[in-house]
Amino acid sequence: MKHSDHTHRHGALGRIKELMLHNVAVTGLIVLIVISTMLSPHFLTVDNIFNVLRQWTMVGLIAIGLTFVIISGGIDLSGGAILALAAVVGAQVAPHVGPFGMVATVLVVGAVCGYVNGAMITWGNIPPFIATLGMMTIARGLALTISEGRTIPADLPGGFRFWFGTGYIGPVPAPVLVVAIVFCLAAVVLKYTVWGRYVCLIGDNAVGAHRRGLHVQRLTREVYTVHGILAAAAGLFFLGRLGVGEPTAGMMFELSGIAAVVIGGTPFTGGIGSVPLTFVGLMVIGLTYNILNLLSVSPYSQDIARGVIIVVAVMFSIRRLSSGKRRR
Amino acid sequence: MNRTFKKLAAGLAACAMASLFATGASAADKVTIGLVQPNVEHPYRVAGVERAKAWAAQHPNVELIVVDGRRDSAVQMAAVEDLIQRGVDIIVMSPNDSKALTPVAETAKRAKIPLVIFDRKLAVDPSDYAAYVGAADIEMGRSAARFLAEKIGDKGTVIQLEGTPGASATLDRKKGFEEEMARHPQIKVVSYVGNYKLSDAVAVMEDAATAHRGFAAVYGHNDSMATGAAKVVKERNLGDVPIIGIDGGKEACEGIASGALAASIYYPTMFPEALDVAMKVLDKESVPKDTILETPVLTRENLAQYCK
Repeated sequence: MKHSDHTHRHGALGRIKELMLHNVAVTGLIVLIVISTMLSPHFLTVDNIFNVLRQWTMVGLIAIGLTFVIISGGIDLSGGAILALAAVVGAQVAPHVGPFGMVATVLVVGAVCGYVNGAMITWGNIPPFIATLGMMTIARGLALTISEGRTIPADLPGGFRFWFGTGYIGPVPAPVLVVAIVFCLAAVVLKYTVWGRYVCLIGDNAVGAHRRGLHVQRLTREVYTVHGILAAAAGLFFLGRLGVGEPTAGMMFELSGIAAVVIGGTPFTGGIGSVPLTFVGLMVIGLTYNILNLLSVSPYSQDIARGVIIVVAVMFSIRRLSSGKRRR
Repeated sequence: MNRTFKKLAAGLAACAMASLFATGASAADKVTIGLVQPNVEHPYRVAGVERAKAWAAQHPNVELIVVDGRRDSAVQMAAVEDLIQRGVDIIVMSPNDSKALTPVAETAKRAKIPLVIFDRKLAVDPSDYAAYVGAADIEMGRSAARFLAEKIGDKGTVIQLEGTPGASATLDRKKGFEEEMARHPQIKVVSYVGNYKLSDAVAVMEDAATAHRGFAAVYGHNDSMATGAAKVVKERNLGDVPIIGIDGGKEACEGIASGALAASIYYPTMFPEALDVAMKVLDKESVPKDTILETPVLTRENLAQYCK
C-alpha cells in the first residue's frame, strides 16, 4: 500500500525529496514565500500577511465546503452566488431581527440553498455540475431581485462588525481568527469523525458505501448543505468587512475555491483530500495576488501570471497523485 | 430546410410590419421606445433606468420597454433583435461593447427603426445612427487629474483604481487621467484593477497601500471604488488623503458630505436627455449628431446642486 517504501533506501536526500514531492502544495507555498520576500520588502510583514488572510477568509470558507463536496465526488459552483444572496438577505433583515436573528436567517438561507443542491442531485438525478450551475444562477438572480440591483447599506452593530470584519485581537484580525477555528474544526471533522470518513468513502466507492449500508444520498445532501451554510457564512464576513450587501459580490469566488482545493491535492475524482492542504492551496492563490499587487505588475498581465501559477500548481499536485491514490 | 424557410418568412413579415408601424408613428400618437441597457444591476444603470421610468410616467403617450443585455454582447444583440420583431418605434441603446454590437445598426436600418446611442459609443459610421448622447470620459479623467494635481501640490504617488479592463469608459478615464498627469513629472501613477466594484477595490487598495506607503492621493474610475479606497484609508488611519471618484451618484454625495471623498466627477445618467433626443428624432426635428453633456467636478461647495 505504501509505495514510498523504496525511497527509504536513498537516505536523507531521498527522504527530503520524497517529503517535498508528497507535499507539493506546501513546497510550492514555501517557494512562493521565499521568492516574494526577496522581491518585495513589504511582503513578509505581519500587517501584510494578516491582510492577505483577511482578504481570503470568504473564499476560504467556500473552499472548505468545496473540499467536502469534491471529496464526496461532486462539484459545487454556487458558492459565490450563495455568498451574494446571504449578504443581501443579511443587509435586508439586519434592522428588523437584530444581529443574532440576522446570522441565523442568513445561515438558514445558505442551508436551504445547499440542501436544494443536494436534493436536485440525489432526487432529481441532475449531474452536480448542472444542478449547482442552476443554483448559481438562481441565487444570483434572487440576490439581484431582493436588492433591486442596488448595493444595500447595512446598519450593523459594532460587535458583529468586530468579529466578522474590522476587529483585531492583538495583531490578529478577528475574522481571521474565526475562520481559522472553522478550518481546524473542518479538518478534525474530515479526519477524525465517522461522518468525515463516510464522506471520503462515498467519493471513493459509492456502490461499496451503499452495500455497506450507508445512506449515500442523504450523506450527499448533507455535504451540499454544509457547503451552502459555509458559503452563507462567507456572506456574513462580506457584510462585516464592507458593511453592505452587494448583489454582485463573490463573483468567481467558487472558481478560486475550486482552484485552492485542487492545488491542495484533492483530485476531482474524489475519495481523498485534506482541509489543511486546501488552506495551503488558498494561500498559494492569495499570496500570488498579493505579491503581484505589491510589485505593481500591470493589472492586465497579472491575470496571465495567476493563470500560469494555478495551472502549474495543479499539474504538480496531479503528478504526485498519479503514482496511486494515497490516503493521508 | 422547410422550417428554416418558414422562420425566415416569419421574420421578414415581422420586419415588414415593424417598418409599417415605424414609418406611421409620430410623437403625438402612442409610441413605443425600446431602451437597451448593457446591464441593469450596476448603480449607474439602475439610476438611469429609474430616471427613464420617471420620464415615461410623465409621458402617457409613451410605452417604455427596458431591456437588459446582461453584460453579454450576444445576449444584448438578441434582445435588440427581439425589440425589432416587436415593432418598437425607436431604439435607445448603450452597447455592451462598442465593436461587438455594430451589426445592430445594420439590422435597425433594414427595419427602418431609428437608433439613438447613449453613454458608450457604437463603432459604426455616424450616418448609421440618428444621434448620440454621451459625456466625454477622457475629459473626466483630465478633470480628475487636474483636481488631484492641485490638491497634492504636484508631487507624490497617486493610486489609480481601474474599472473593468477593456471597457471603453475604463480606457478613456485612464487615458485622460494619465495624459494629464504626464504633464506633472513629479507625480507617479500606479494602477490596480477594481472592476468598478467596492469589494474588489478594498482588496487591491489594501495591497496598494502596503506597497506604496505614503501615497499622496487616490483616483477611482467610479465612486464605488473610491468609497472602497476611503474605507481602507480610514481603517489604517492614513490621514487626510484626497480621494476622487467618478459618477457623482448617491455614493459620491454621501462620501463627499461625510468627508471620506474629496470630490467626484459628475457623469450624467443620460436620462432624460437621451429620451428627449429620441422624441425629437421621432418628430422628425433636427437634432445634433452628438450631444455631449457636461461633467462638472462635484465637491463640498456645489454638493447641494447635484445631490437631491
